[in-house]
Amino acid sequence: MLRAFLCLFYYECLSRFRYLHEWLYPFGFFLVVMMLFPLALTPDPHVLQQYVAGFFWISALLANFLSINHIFAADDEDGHLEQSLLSTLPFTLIIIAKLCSHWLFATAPLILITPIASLFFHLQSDALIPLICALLLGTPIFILIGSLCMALTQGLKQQGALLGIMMFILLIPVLIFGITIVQKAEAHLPILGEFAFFAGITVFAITLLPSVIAHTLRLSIDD
Amino acid sequence: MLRLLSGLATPASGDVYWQNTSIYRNAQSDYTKHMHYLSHANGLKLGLSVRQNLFLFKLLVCYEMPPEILDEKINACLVQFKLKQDTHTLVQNLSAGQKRRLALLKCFLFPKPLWILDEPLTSLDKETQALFHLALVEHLQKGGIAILSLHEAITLPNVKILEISPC
Repeated sequence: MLRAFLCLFYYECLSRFRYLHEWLYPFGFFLVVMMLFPLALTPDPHVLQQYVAGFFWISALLANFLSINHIFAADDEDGHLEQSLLSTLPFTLIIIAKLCSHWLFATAPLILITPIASLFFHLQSDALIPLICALLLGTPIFILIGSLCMALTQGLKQQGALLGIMMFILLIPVLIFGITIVQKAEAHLPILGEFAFFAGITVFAITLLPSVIAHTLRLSIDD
Repeated sequence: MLRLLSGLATPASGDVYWQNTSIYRNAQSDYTKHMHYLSHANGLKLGLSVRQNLFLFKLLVCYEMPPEILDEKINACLVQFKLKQDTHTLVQNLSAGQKRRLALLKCFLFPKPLWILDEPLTSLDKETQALFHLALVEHLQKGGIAILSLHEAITLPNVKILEISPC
């Protein structure tokens, strides 16, 4: 089973790598949105420092929304999703491989660029590690809940607005936790409690959501 | 209807039986491991090459075979379907006919008793249609079942014609 998962993961990564819009566009979008905030508000570093946590999380959320839109679309179009459904391997395994490769390509670059971006926003160095860890815990939840919303609306013709509404409302708790962690870290308050709870949410999501997504996709493709 | 038979769509009423068991009774993979399904869409991953697609499909059908024999078989099939020169081309760069040939090739490479094919002969030239015809006859002679939807008539040896009345 593990070998099958690794092979699937490898082929998913290979096919994602060939399309720029899988990894370059969300990354570029993240940077552009981040740059818009100081332009729209004020370049004053003291003001920016107060809100930098929010900027990071909102940009990550929007970049994720951009990339999650076509997580199943390409495979649905060329019939590969149907073949995966009919395969002897468990469909949940195939979905997990797809989600892992999506995380690697769409979200890992954002986390890698965070240290550099934090310099531009004068984020305190104490808060950098908590920010990266919180993003590491939070971005899988973004992807899992985003995929669930995509799986629910897979068969529909007009999915954009409905998808956005569903996703953003479900991800508000993650956003609040993530921003609180960074703000508390900046104020040098203890953050272990929030981290533990946040990690708990992530583990809960990772355990349950892949099979839910697989089942929902099966229902969406069924006519 | 082909989607219903393959288990992708669930019927409002009625049942589908394979070897005297309803396909909805046990896990779906117990039924689908005996089956090849081909729809209008080719079921290929566009971002991968021809060879990688075949290996991915081998993974999906859990087909175990020693690598050397598999390689030989793949090469033989690719030559037969005139795809040998495109072994490492990305599927998105193939023509419609080549994609269809690749999708059909998968059926012949991994033998399964049941074939459910939706218009398998679209975008194929006369030569490839003849090849498919030969492979279909061979499959039927080995005791396989094939459910096809076609726009042109084909002749098969020892065939019984059933007329399904509209209900």
